[in-house]
Amino acid sequence: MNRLRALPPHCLAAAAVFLAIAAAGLVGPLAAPAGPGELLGGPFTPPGAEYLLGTDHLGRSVAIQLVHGIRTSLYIGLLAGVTGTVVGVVVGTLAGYRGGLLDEILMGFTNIMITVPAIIVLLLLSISLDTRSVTVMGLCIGAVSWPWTARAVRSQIASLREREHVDIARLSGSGTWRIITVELLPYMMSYIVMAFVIQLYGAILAEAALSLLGLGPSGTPSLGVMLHWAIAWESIRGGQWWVFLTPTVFITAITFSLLLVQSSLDSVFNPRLRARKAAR
Amino acid sequence: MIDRSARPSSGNPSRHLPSAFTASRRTLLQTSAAVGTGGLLAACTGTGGGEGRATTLYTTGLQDGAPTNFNPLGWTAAWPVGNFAVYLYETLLNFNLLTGEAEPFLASGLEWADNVGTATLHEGTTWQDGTPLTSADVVATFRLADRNPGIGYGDIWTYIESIEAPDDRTVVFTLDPQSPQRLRLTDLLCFTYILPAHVWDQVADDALTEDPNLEPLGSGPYKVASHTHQDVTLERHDDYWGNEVHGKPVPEKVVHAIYEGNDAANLSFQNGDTDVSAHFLPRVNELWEDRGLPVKTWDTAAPYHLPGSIPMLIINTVEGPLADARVRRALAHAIDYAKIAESAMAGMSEPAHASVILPQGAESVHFNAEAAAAGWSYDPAETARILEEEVGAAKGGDGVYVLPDGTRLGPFVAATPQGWTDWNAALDIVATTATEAGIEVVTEFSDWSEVNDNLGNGAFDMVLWYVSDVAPSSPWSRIRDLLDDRDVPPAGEMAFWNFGRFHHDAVPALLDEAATAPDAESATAAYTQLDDIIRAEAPAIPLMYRPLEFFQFSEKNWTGFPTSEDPYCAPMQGMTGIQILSKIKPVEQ
Repeated sequence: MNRLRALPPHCLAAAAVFLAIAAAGLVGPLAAPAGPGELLGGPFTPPGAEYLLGTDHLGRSVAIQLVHGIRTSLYIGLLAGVTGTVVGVVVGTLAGYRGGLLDEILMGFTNIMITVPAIIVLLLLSISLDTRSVTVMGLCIGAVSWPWTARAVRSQIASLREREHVDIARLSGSGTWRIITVELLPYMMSYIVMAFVIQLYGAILAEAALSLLGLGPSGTPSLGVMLHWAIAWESIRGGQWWVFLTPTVFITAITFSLLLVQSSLDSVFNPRLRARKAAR
Repeated sequence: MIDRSARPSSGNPSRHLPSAFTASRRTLLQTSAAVGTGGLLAACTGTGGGEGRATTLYTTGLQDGAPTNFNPLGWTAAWPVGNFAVYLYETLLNFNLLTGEAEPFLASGLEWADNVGTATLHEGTTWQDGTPLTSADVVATFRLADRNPGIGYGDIWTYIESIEAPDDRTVVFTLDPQSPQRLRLTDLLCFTYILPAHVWDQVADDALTEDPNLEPLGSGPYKVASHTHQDVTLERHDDYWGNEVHGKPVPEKVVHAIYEGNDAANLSFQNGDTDVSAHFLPRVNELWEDRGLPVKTWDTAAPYHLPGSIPMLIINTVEGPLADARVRRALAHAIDYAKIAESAMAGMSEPAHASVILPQGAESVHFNAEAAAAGWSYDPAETARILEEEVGAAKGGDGVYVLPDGTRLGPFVAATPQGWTDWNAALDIVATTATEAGIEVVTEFSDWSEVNDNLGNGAFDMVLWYVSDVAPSSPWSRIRDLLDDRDVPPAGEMAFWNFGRFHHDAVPALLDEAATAPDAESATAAYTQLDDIIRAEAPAIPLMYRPLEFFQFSEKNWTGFPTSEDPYCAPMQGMTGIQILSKIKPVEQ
């Protein structure tokens, strides 16, 4: 708790914004009076007492779409974040700790993945796969987002494994997995958590980008899908600001708050860094 | 994305092609891929947009992407050759969307005597290079199909026995007495550009469909002056042969601006940069009602445009629970047609009737309102009654019906191409209201070619697709394309009509009866019986009405376009050509 107090206030505010949005995504769909696909009223009803955020081109409530969309976007973000982080950490750790040929192979592959633009791989994946389910989409995004994490984890592990306590563990007969899980990963946790946050908002943006291009999940509203239809139905030219502004504001709020939290987390996880700075 | 809502060109007779023909076309494409196309490179110069508004008409919406060729024998001809905008090339007859009549164009008329149709050319028809246009050109045009199997009207010999030119003004068409298809001949004469024999005789057989034809020589009132990836500019041909017969066109230039997408095009139209637009412009009425712009369409009241096609929910009648006509009929009752018209078509359609015949315009004579009213309508209670009482299904815990044999009604996939926004929205509404009624439907929007392949091969549950627009042969051609399973291969092979593989014993005889009916009443009687079969078995469900072309115009620079109050011709750029261009007037600045 002492560490939390060290956080700058803007970080707490950002965390509060993110948690509030996440809560809306969790509770909103349960509390909503109707489903996201229900055709409630006329098309493009402006916001008012009847529809909090107005209706879209089919007469569906934008507010209900929004809470479902937040949930979908967060689910995709979490799934892709976990996938990307786990794959990145596993690949990076193996390459960094084992070194040698395995390192060459894994890093060679990682470098190839970094050079190929992720959005193109994502587009091809989305087009080639038969299903457009939310889970598959999250896994696809995770599958292209791990390389940077792998690279960073590898260099950290490569330096960590030269430390004395690792040598001692090795001399005392600990196995590779034990050394990795007990001696190396705990030192990496701060980095891994931050990498996860980056993966999380990266994935939410990737979902929005894909959906904007019309490759979003089918049958489920997401923030990107909402934007896609807002543009397809020319809401900007038509002046139906509530339709395109709502998802835009929430995508921005989610990613910006996560970015702020992430940039401040550094100081929480790495107090020694600050202490050293202060001592100089 | 560009092609959203604007379907492939209207009135294209290629929709009626038999499969044998298309197979040969495919072979041809493979063998001729390496054949060069001759170095006809025209100078591409930009056009000064915005200049000379009193002499230049700006239009948009009929050409997506950079123009690559003006070859009427190919499949990708740019405006004005594509879309049957008859400014450059002309046809013998001209189809009037309002009356359904085939009107004089190059020919002054078509006289029938039994199986012999005689077309007489107007006096003085000339090509733009001054050469006379004679009946020899007409015969040569139809004979081109013998030289290259890839040409769209290559199937003429399946219903025509001979084409002859007894003198230089007369062309005699003799129908095959085995299948005397007057309707299809009329289609052919309305949708085949007559080409100059002295030009096309020089083109090698294989190159006929591939020639870019960048300096096209036609008989019409305009020539192509320039073309870039941003526009195609036409220049008036002052010595047009039809100046007396059809009228002299007013604009010196007609420029078709090419935009990246609907929103950019609609914005420029809204700003008055383009005068006529065929782009899908949702809630077009707001432009004059809310913004006070000098914009109009055919009608100032909903549905604003004149309907010309019926997007059709085609159902696979062979596989799964949807093979049961009762389930399909239950589905037809579970679709909210009024909502589709209001939201998906943004008010630019009437709610669809239970009929595959257009209630307005050329086909209205055959539309039987009473019979249509007796068909399905949005009524979830009726869906429940059919499924529970007739089929014996029971509602599962999740609100979806389960058949007596344990088959769950859904999820059925309803597909249509991505980017056709109004079609996408219509299917979203189908999915929502049908699922609410207990038949689970999910939407899938993917690439056009993927949807097209799945449709032809019968690998689909339901697809929202276009079936035969209004034409001289409609509604015959539409009903045939929906119901006739003669010459349709089984699922797994590519079909070109009757994608749902519907079969009904009475259909072939009724279709032949309608095709050869001596008068409109007896044709209508046959059509109503065919329509009744559709109402009873629901192999396809009409979802909405769309115009052949969206036609919104701005009176900022030009006035005198056709409207329902001044209906001198159909509200579209295709087929009307000079009819509109000789009537409009520049606004006094």
